[in-house]
Amino acid sequence: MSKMRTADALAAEVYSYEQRCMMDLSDNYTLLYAFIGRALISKYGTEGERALREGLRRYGRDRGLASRERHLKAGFKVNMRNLFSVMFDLPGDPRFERELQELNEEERVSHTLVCPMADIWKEYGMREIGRMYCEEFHPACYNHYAFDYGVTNLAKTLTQECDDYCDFNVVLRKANVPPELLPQCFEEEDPGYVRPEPPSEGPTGKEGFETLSIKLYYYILEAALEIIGPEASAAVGEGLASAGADGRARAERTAVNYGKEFGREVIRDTYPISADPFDEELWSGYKGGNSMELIRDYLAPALLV
Amino acid sequence: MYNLHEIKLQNMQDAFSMLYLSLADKLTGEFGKTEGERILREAVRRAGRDSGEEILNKHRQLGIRTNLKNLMKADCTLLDPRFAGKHVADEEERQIFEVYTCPLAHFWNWRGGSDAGSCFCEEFQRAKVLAYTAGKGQLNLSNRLTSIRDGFCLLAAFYREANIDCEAAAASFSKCGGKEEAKPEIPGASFRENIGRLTADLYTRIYETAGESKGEEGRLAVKKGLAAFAAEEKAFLIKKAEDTGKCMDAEFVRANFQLDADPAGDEAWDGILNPEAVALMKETVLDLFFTAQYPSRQERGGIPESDPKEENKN
Repeated sequence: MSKMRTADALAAEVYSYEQRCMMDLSDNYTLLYAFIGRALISKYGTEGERALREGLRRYGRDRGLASRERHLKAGFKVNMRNLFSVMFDLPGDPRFERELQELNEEERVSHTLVCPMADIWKEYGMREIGRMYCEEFHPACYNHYAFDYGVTNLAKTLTQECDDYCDFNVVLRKANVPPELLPQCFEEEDPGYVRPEPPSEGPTGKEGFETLSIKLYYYILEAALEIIGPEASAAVGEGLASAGADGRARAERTAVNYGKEFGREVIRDTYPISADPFDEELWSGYKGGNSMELIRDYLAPALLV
Repeated sequence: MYNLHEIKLQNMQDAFSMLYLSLADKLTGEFGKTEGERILREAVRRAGRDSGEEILNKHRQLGIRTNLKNLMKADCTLLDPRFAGKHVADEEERQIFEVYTCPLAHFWNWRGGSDAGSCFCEEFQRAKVLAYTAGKGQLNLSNRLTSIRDGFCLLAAFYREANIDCEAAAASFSKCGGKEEAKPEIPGASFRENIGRLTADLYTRIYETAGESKGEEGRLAVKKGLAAFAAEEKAFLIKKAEDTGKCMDAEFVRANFQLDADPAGDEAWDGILNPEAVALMKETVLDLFFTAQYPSRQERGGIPESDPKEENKN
């Protein structure tokens, strides 16, 4: 613990409070998934894993579709260059280290050398659960973004025991896109097209992570209820309670390291899901399976002061 | 230095690479890069699917567990000694394989056919894995030797118990209660049979998709590509015959080329229901190779093939 406090205290000298909150939001999102996943697998074994993987795929498709719609609405083409360079659904995390090898409309090739998600899964002994995220989420998201004509190649990941980087090769081959979709995807297929200026502002960390956390949690719950049955609610609730307690401890550390008084304000700044009050707008479409009630009953009591 | 047996495998492998590239060149030349590649990629996907389904059915009939470890064992291309690679993970649910030298990539890159080669690499194995795993597996090709960027191919396939139902899991994975005694050895793959099957199938799929996409013009482009291949492969076989002290006759062709003279009696064409494509291959390629007799270097006054007395000295 003292070692961790030292590391956190040192980090406080490097990162501003706002940056620290961004990283906490990211870590809490990463662990919300992992705690729910661990509870499901621990209780239901392969069936739990089945639900987790299915939930990840649904979440990935939702997020991919949302990115596609955002791009089309803003006048951007649906292609690899835009997917990985404009209008992200999250602000950047300074801890990521990436080596970009290729970025064009058809192909994005990059190596991730440092991934805070992989790091925290490993730190918590949940690398294999993290690996499931890498294996299911990325292809579902990127491929669906590109009208399901995209192909995600992720042969190495930092969550795999034999790997020391993530090897992303995500492609959308012009020759695999039906002719009628080409003008929506590639600039040269749309004569006279003028690329818009990317918006200068993206979502805030809180807004981005809250949206994504709600979706990720909701789809895992939905898949668990379908695959396992109503009894799966309790395991999901158990995961939420663990996530809440861990989020609270992280908020306490951040408060200490940045000289803040620990309370609801720090929790709001560092935890992606607002449970008191709920942000009703963000939950719209994701209320099935008593999703909000579970947050209220399990996550909130462990998280909130 | 390769031995004569290894050289025969290599000649067949190179014939496959040459045929594919000849057809790809004609299609992209006639219809442009995007449209040509569209035909090519679809054909490669179909051939990959055929291959995956064929192996799946064979494994099911023999009672072999249908998992990635067994799928990998059925890959005959690894028998070409010019392949060099290593398994990073060799498991039923996960295969991670790195390829450092690949005769297909080498041939295509050397001939300026990297893009066409990439179409094959990107589509074939993925379609094969998906077909073999009934759509539940994944194939990730993060690096490929046909890309100027990469120094090796990196393939990772995943087929997870949690993504299939219990019945499929029992038929696939040792840990899921499949009977140990019902696990016969996978029959050794004959390189010639396998590459012959792949050659016949991929060619037919290209003929088929070119026709579907471009009608008579498409089939004509394939015909031109096939004629170009026939001329080049004939010269190649003559050269290879000379290099190994033989003359190019029907016996040499049978030993160094993957298709028989008569498709009707050749298992490579079993189940291929496209008589037009088969007839075109016969009249353009097979008749040319198997009916012609080319003089040996000795007959043309060159270096003798071998001295039988030399063999007795050993």
